[in-house]
Amino acid sequence: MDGSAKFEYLRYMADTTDLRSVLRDLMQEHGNDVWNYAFSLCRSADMADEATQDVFLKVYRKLGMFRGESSVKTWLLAITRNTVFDMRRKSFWKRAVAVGLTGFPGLQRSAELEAIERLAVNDLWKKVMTLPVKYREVIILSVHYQLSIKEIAGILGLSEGTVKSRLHHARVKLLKMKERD
Amino acid sequence: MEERKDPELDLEKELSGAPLKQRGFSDGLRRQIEARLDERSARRAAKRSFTVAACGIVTTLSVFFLLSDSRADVPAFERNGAAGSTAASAEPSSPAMTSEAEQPAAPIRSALLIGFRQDFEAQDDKRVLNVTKASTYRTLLIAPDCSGKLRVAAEGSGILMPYRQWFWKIEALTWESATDTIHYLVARRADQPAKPETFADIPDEELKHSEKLLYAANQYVSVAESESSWRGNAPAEYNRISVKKVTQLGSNRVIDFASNKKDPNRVTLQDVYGSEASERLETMLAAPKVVGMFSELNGDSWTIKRRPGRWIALAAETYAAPNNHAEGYELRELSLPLPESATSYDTLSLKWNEIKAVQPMAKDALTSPLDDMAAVFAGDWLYLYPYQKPLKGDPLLTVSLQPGETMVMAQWATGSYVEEWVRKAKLYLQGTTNAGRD
Repeated sequence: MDGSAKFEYLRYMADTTDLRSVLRDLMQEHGNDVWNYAFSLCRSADMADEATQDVFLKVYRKLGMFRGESSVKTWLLAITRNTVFDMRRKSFWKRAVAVGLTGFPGLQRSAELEAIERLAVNDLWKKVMTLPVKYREVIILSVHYQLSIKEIAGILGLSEGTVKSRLHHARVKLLKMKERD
Repeated sequence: MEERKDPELDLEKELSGAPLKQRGFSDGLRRQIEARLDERSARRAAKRSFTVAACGIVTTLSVFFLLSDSRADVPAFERNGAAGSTAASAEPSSPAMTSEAEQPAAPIRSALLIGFRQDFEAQDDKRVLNVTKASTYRTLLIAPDCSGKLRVAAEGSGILMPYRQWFWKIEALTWESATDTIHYLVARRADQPAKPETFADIPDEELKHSEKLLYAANQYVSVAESESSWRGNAPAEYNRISVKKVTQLGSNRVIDFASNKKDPNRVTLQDVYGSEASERLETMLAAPKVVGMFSELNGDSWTIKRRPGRWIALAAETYAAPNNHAEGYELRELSLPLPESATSYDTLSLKWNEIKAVQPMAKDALTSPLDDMAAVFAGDWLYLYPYQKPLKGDPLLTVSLQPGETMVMAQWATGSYVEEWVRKAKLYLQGTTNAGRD
C-alpha cells in the first residue's frame, strides 16, 4: 500500500480514534521525510530535531482537522516548513539580542556548512545545501520528495509559474556547479 | 557510440536518499515526542483536577457564607482576607484543598493492558498421536478508578491489543475431526465477530497442529507452530516460529507442513532492523548452534521473547531432517535492541536491587511511561506499586496469576487514553457498555 492510501482513514476519524497510534504510524511512515526537509531548510541537525518534535506535536493537535485536501506527506511538509521558518525567525532575534546587530552572523553560517561538509552523504547534497533557500527547497521538494509543481506551489504559497521558474534556475545552478567540478 | 547521460536523471538519483550519513528521525527522537505528549496530557489532567477542586471549594464556600449568620464561625483564612467570599473564591489556599486528610501521593494516570498465555497438555490414548498441546489466553486492564484507586478494570479471555485506531482481538480456536486436532489463532478487529475456520480432513492420516502466541505489541505478533502427523506408519514432527503483522495472522494459514511450503506472510528481521540484521546474522552463522545437519539463519524465522525487564529479539537457526519428516529450530539471542516500532514502550526505570528490596523473589517488572506505576512479577503474583525511588511500602493492588502463566503483551495508556481504554476493554473483554470508570 503506498503512503497516500495508507492514511486515507485520517479523513474519517471519529472521537474514539486512538490518536496516539495514528501519530505513531505517521512518525513511522514520514518521520524521516519531516526530519530531512527540516534539516535541508535550517542546515542544523539540532534545529531539525527540535523542529521535528514541534511538527509532530502540532500534527497531533491538528489530526482531527485533516480532511484530505492534500496528501498526508504534503500536509506534513507544509507544517514542517512553517515550523522551521518560525524557529529561524525566533532564533535570529535571540541571536541579535545576544550578540548585538553588529555581531558575527557569518560565524553561525560557516559552522552549518562545516557540518554539512563533514556529514553530507554525497557531493550533490553538499552543493544543494549551499544554494539559497528559495532554490534549495524547490529542488528538494521536486527531486527528493517527487512532488508535483502544484503540490510544491501549495506548500510554498507561490504560483505554479514561480515554482517552475525557481526550479529551472535551481537546476541550472546545480548543473553549473557540477560542471565546474 | 557512447551513451549520453541525462543530467536530470543523475540529479534525481543522487538526491533520492537522505542528506546526511547519520541522524535523521531516530527512535530517541520518537521517544522524546511521545514523552512531551505524555507531559502535556499530565499537565492538562492536573489542571482539570485543580479546576474541579477549586470550583468545588468556591461552591462550598459560597454556600457556607450564604447560610452562615455569625462571622465568628468563619474560618481564620477568610477573616484575614478581604471581606466576603470574593477573596476566598479568587485564591483558594493549599490547606483548604487538602482539607483534613493527609496530602495524597501523586495520582496514577496510567493503565496497563497485559496479556497472558497458559499452556496445557491433554492426553488421548485412543489416538496414535496421543498428546495434544494447546494454550489459553486472557487479558487484564489495570487502571485507576475515578477516585484514583487502582483496580482490575476489565478482564476477559483472548488477547486484546491496540492497533492503529482500533482494538484487535486474538483468540485461540479449535477444529477437530475423528483423526485431527487443530488449535489455531485468529485475529480480528474487536468490534467484528470471530470467524471459525474449517480444514480439510485427510483420510488415513492423523494430524495435530497447534499455534502458540508468544508476543503481541504495536503491529507485530510472534507465533510458534508445532505439528505432529502420522501417515502410513511414518511419524513426522515440525516446529516453526515467525513474526507477522497482526493483520497477517491466519491469512494464508499453512496446515499439514509436510505437504506445503512455508507461510509467505511474515516479517523478517531485515524488515525491522534493516541491513544491521544481516550483518549480525552473518557473524552468528560463523558459529552455528545446530550440529550434524544443514541449518539456516537468514532472518526469516525469529521471535520476540521476554527477559527480566525487557523484550528481546531471538533469531531462529532452522534445520530440516534429510527425510523431511522433521523440522525445528534453535533460538539465538540477536543482541540488538528492539526498535520502538516493535515494542511500544519498553523501558524499566527501576534498578533490580530496588525491585528486589520490596520483592526478593521478583522475576520481571514493568514501569509506566509516566513513571507513576511499577508492576512486579514474583511467584504467581503480580504486584502493582506507586512508582517511587526507592520502591517501598505495600502494593496498591495484588493480582493472582495462574500457575505457569506467561506475559505475552504489555501496553500502556496514559492521560486521557485511560478512560477510553477502560470503556473499550470492558466492551471487548466483558461485553459490557458501562462507559467511563467506576
